[in-house]
Amino acid sequence: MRVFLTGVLGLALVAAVAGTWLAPYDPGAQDLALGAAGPSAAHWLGTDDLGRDVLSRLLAGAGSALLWPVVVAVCTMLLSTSLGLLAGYRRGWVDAVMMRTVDLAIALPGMLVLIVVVGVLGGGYGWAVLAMAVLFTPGDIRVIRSLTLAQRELAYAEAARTLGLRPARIMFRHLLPNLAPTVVASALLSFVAALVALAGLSFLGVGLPAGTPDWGLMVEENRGLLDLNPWAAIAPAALITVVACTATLLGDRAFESLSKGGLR
Amino acid sequence: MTYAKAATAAVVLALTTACSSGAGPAQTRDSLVWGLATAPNSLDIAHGFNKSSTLVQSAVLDTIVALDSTGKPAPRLADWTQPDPASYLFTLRKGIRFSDGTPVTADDAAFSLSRHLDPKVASQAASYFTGVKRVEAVGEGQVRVTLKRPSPAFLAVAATAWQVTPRKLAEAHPKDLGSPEVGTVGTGPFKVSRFSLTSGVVLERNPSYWGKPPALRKVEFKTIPDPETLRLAVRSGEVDATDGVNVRDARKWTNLPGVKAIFYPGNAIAYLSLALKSGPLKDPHVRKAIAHAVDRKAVAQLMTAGHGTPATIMLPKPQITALYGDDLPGLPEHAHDLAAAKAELAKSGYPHGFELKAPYASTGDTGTVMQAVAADLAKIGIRLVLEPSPTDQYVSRVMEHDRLSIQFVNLAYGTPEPIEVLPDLVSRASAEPQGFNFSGYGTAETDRRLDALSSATGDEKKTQVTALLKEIAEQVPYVPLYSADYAAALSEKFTVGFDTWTVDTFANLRPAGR
Repeated sequence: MRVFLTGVLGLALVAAVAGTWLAPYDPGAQDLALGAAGPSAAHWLGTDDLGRDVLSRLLAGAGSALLWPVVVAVCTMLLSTSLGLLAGYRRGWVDAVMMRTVDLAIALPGMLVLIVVVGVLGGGYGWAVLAMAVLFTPGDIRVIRSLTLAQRELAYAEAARTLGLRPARIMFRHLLPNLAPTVVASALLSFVAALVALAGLSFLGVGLPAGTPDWGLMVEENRGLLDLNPWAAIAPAALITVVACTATLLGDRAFESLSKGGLR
Repeated sequence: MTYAKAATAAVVLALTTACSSGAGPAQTRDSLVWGLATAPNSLDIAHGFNKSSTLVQSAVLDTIVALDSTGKPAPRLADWTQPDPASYLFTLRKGIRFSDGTPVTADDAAFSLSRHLDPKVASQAASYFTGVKRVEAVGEGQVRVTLKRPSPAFLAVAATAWQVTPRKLAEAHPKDLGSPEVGTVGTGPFKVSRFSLTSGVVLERNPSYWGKPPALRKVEFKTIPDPETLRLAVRSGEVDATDGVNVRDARKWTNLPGVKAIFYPGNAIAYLSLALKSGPLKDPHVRKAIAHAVDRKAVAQLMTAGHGTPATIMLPKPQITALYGDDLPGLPEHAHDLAAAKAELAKSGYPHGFELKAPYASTGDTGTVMQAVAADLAKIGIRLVLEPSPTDQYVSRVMEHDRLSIQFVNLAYGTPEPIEVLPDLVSRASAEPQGFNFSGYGTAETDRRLDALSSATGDEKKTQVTALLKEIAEQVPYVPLYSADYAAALSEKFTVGFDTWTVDTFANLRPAGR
């Protein structure tokens, strides 16, 4: 299972890094005479209605499909881990202010906020990624904080305080390693959520400009071709699903392995 | 005993229901479900001058006159004479009644027109009647309309927007006539049985209808915004007919079992508008380069799937046919020619190309057209940066003439008169916010020509229209792209004819074979 999951994610990573070079055709090259053609030897997954090669667009789109969710996951992980540790370790007014802010943020309808940021306020895709990282952070802060509250009462943390170690050192050198399984699993779940949410934004037409090779946008642009070349819509949708499932399963596995004392 | 009776009645009822369900398809249907892509918002053209609302209005409200299948004015509620070039005398049919049984008077007909000029009504059709000076009920069943100046397009406009409703009702509800709360009363083949913004509209046969009674007893309008869901509803028989067919998807509709896909010339023109007030588009050589670079034939095929033609003249095709027949004027054309495009660009102030932001609506066909155009322009060094916006925001900005650049526009019109279209394109008044002149092109000379056209007839009309079209072709504020057919789908259980001008669809719809 692990080999399979790693293999799938590895292929996705290769496509993300080298997709543009691996693509058999220019992903933006149009040939209106070849519009919505089914799979053939020349075009393995057929073409879309503007005659662009679907396989090439899938490969070229892997970069943005995977890179931005990774950015969201990393930002979310850094923010939520720092703030969660701080709230759980310091407690008192820091904890109270932070938790009430988290309560407020969790109550916001995430997708609507993103649509407003990107669509109505005219923010670019970068703003969507930033907003998504901010929106995903509160949930993870709450998890990290609750784990920190439990860890800070354990004997090793008490000993560190007795030795007079600085709070930052205790949090990041002593508590954090014990939270690592949850941090890694949460990061992978953030990646999955961002992958799906960004694809959703593209599907709604408020993410990337028309014509950009992007899996979510391809589903939206090609869903009208289901009876002409179904692969144009099914292939990107399937890739989003496969990558999301793989990352989720890997997150579970990473959590189990790290909880047992390291990745195996 | 009581329980036994009830049980027996239940069994009989169940069997009856089962039998009637099974026999359904064999029976002649006298009710029809029509699928709409957007919900009608008002059954009064003053507040619901849009495709779905006017479709329902056409079944309930009669206009004073009609257009025949060739686009020529024909009597409907009234016949007319023209005592002088600037006035019309309409004589109402005798004995016509509204669906509530009250007789139609000349006063009702006159008020139905004059209310569009009342600022309190804020009619969406007001611009159609700005040339009207006076409307008055005169004599027995007669209405005199006096225009500020002769307007040969008046009858065509009246056939589109002069719907007749009772004065008493319209006067009591200047702003909410036709709303779900107030409804409307007309003389058309059907009357409103139910109208809800959410659950749709149900119409029933109007027993007071003055014409041949419609074959259908009931018409129900259901709103199904998603095109694919609408297609599946037609395929399954849940919906019997729809005009919500995008010709681009023609291939999906032509093979539906038990459904006829019907195509007929659309009174619409799809084009690129080039905002020439500033930036590279101010340069006429740049505009000509763009006109040469865009492959209209390919765009037309992409967007109409063979049910349309590339456009070379900035008028809807049915208007061109109505005016010129087959004798088209010789106008400058900008054929697809990359060498010519590059040559024009070389003569411009941007010989090496440039980058241009191009906002577009993120839903609908706009994104597809703009991608095809961007690919064509990239070949001569013009890089379009496509910027998606939610459709409502995009439309709002465009109507405010905010951030105009190179826009895809597809406008539909109601009459065969070019005077309905040309002021939208080149009048200076339309270049202001809320106008449709998105290019900003317009001179004192074009305004003078439009003024002359508004009262021109015969050869003079052709001369004025040709001069304006020639100016547009030479100055290239617009690049005509294609003329698409209108499309409808109809269950084979029913039959009706569709054409560009007539709006008698529901009066003429009947079960197949009758």
